[in-house]
Amino acid sequence: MSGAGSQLVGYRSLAGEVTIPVPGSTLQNVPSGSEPLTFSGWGQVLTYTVVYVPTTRFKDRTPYVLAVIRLEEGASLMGIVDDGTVANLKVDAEVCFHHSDGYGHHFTIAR
Amino acid sequence: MADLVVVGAAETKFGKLDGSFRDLAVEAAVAALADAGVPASQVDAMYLGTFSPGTFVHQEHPAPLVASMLGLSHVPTTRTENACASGSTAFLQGLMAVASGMCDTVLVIGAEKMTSTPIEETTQILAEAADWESEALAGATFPSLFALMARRHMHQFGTTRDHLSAVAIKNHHNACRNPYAQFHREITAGDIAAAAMIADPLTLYDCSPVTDGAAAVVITSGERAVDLGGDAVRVLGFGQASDSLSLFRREDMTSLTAARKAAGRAYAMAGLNPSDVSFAEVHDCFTIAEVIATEDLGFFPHGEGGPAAFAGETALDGRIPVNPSGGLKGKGHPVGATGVSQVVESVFQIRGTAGERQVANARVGLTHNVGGSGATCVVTLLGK
Repeated sequence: MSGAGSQLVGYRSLAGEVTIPVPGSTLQNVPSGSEPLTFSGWGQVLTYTVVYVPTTRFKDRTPYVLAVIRLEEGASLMGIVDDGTVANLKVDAEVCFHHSDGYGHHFTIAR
Repeated sequence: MADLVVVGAAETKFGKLDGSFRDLAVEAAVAALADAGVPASQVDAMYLGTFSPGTFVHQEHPAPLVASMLGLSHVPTTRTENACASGSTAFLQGLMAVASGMCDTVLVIGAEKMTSTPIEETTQILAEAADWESEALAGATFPSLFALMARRHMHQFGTTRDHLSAVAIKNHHNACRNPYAQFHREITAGDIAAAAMIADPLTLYDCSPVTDGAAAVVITSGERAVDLGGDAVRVLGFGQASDSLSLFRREDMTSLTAARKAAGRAYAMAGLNPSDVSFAEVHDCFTIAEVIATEDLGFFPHGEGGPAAFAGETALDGRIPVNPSGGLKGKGHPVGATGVSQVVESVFQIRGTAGERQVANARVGLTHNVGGSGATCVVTLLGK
């Protein structure tokens, strides 16, 4: 599924739910009968925060900007905006997929 | 609906406590049974709401453990887990056991021992109540999920830092009048603004604390309560609902559909409206959560919960007092205990025994207990 430098990909289950798996999650095992999806990577920030107190897994990565992003195809996901700050990011800002790794889906602000 | 009553209610002090998980659960249960005047031998079943004793204190299968310590004689025991709504879920299971006629008297306990683990580990344990694969692995924490809701609420309705601060200031003020509360210290808007940022825009004082504690209630039928002769409080209605575990999958991040559905069911069962409620104990795990709760429960229109809190409408002497106990924010939030503790506080208020925090003319109380970022919600209505 999604990997560094690759496209943002996922699948739609038989029940209609869209999943865009984070590398390392068991969701990468695509259920049989699911429809593979490839996304353009363009999306809009619905809301965002800056995380200062993380889980153990992210303890060396703070602060980071976490956002709910609606992709132009309509699906939403949780993403990290690598170049985002409280000063330069706004709700409704356009972002572009950069890569996925064990620390989530990474986006940058569209220029 | 069946005539269901709470005949006993008690809780431990909340805070960073020396007692073990089992000690806290037993302390609350013994006190609730004593308040009810019910011996352990007359308990037909026990429900224990607790979120994660397996990770917090390495104790799974806790219900029979606590029951045996209480001397309950081989009765059915069940542990419920619905994240922060584990306690209220246990309460509803107890209500339904009595309502079905299978049990005459049920003991419900909520308990959590949270302060034994380092904060980053606690943050991770709590994050496991979100969608682990799609949210936590992508960087979400619980404060961050509610910060995402807060930012969206601010964007959509103009909710401000001052509105959120009003919730924290009020709940610390109320907690100062509650001997069971974790915090007995008034705070100011300056304290909140100067506090460490946890997940922007939420600072430390926007967040409920990590807490140890337990609460318990005894439920029976109205008929049996007459024989017991105590100060019974009636259950007027209740509702439970669910939603997507993932915040990002919801159409609206400024409202909890599960809360609106659960409240609608509870109001319908009771034949009551929001205007009939005298006070509410709501799930203010974060300040924004109380703002959203007061809107979802119908006390204020969507988007107007922040200004209402700032105007003092939810204060102890306000139009609809919210969290007279101090709420999760000031009283503390031992996750599995919280939902039961809300019922305990409501019983105290309706009996008129809440002391300095007593709400005037407290006839109908509402509890609102949320699991996760809103995937589970339980609402109950209690009164005389």
